[in-house]
Amino acid sequence: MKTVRKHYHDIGSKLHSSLFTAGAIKDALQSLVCREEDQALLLDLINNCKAVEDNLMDLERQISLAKLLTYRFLGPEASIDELSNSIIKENTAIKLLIVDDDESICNVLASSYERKGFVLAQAQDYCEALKKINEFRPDIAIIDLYLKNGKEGIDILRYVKDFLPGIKTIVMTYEDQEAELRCVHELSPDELLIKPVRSQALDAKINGLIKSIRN
Amino acid sequence: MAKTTLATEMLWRSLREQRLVLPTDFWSLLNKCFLSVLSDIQQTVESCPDTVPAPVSGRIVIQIEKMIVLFRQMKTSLNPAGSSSSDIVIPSDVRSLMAHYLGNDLQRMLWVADEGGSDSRAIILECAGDIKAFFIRLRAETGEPAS
Repeated sequence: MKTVRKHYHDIGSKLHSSLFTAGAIKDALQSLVCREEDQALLLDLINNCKAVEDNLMDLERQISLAKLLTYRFLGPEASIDELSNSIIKENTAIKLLIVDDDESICNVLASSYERKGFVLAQAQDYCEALKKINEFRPDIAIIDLYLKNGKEGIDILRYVKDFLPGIKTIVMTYEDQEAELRCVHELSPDELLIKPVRSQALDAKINGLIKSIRN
Repeated sequence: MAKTTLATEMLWRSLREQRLVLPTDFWSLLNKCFLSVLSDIQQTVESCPDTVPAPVSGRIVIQIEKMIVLFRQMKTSLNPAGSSSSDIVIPSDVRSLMAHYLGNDLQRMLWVADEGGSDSRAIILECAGDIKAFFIRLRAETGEPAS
């Protein structure tokens, strides 16, 4: 009994780590728990996730949440590693690089996608973007076409296509940049979005790319 | 005062050097439509808690989309081909810089209204303040509107 308690305590503790973000758990639950009779339980779990986010959860509630999560995901006999791997595989394995010269845009996108369980990196110019592409090796790069310091987003796109074509690319731009848009089409990014972009539109493009990465 | 970026500094320099006067259509759309939608958003958000609740943010998204449409019309008025003030030629770099600067604020506002987050009220108000400050400076840098 003590071992089981320790087991769930370990899971509960791990909920606080960067791998087990509340957003990641919530997304996974919403996709997995879909029967009508599970709705009350789902609400309770989501409230618990909020408590994880706010660092308010005490030990007993952590254990209780860990039990519920393990049962819901993998059944009563699952190990901590199985649960961990399951959530990480579903939500947090995707690495996202955001390239935009406007730091406030980078921050808004980054905090939103961190809440959704992605691993994030940001760059605000060409040199920083190349450094992050080579060191961080993102699965998906969201590239703004207009960047400061001369080099444009198109140069980053060209670099990715030439040297690391496995990285999926989403180019975002304003419709005014007609000449640049013609060059972008020639380089065939995986997705192209005209700003301002609704968050649902970007989510849909990212989810499409994730499916193609996993397939 | 609006935040300073390389793009805005380039824009102000370009406007000063070229002594540009923006067309009446542009100012008319700005004063009669764009700024009133912006004020509606500010008033709505000011009465909200730190995190703008979902029903309110839904209404704000609709308002922001209205601003995006108006902003596109304002950009068209800067394009001689689409403007009634065909004697005023606004260079494409000025239009592009303006679009870049204001577009980023609109984008950030739209994103935060869509996604929420613990400081959504502050971010939306900051963007609205930035946009207003931008137009105040634009009026100062370009002088009186053309008649």
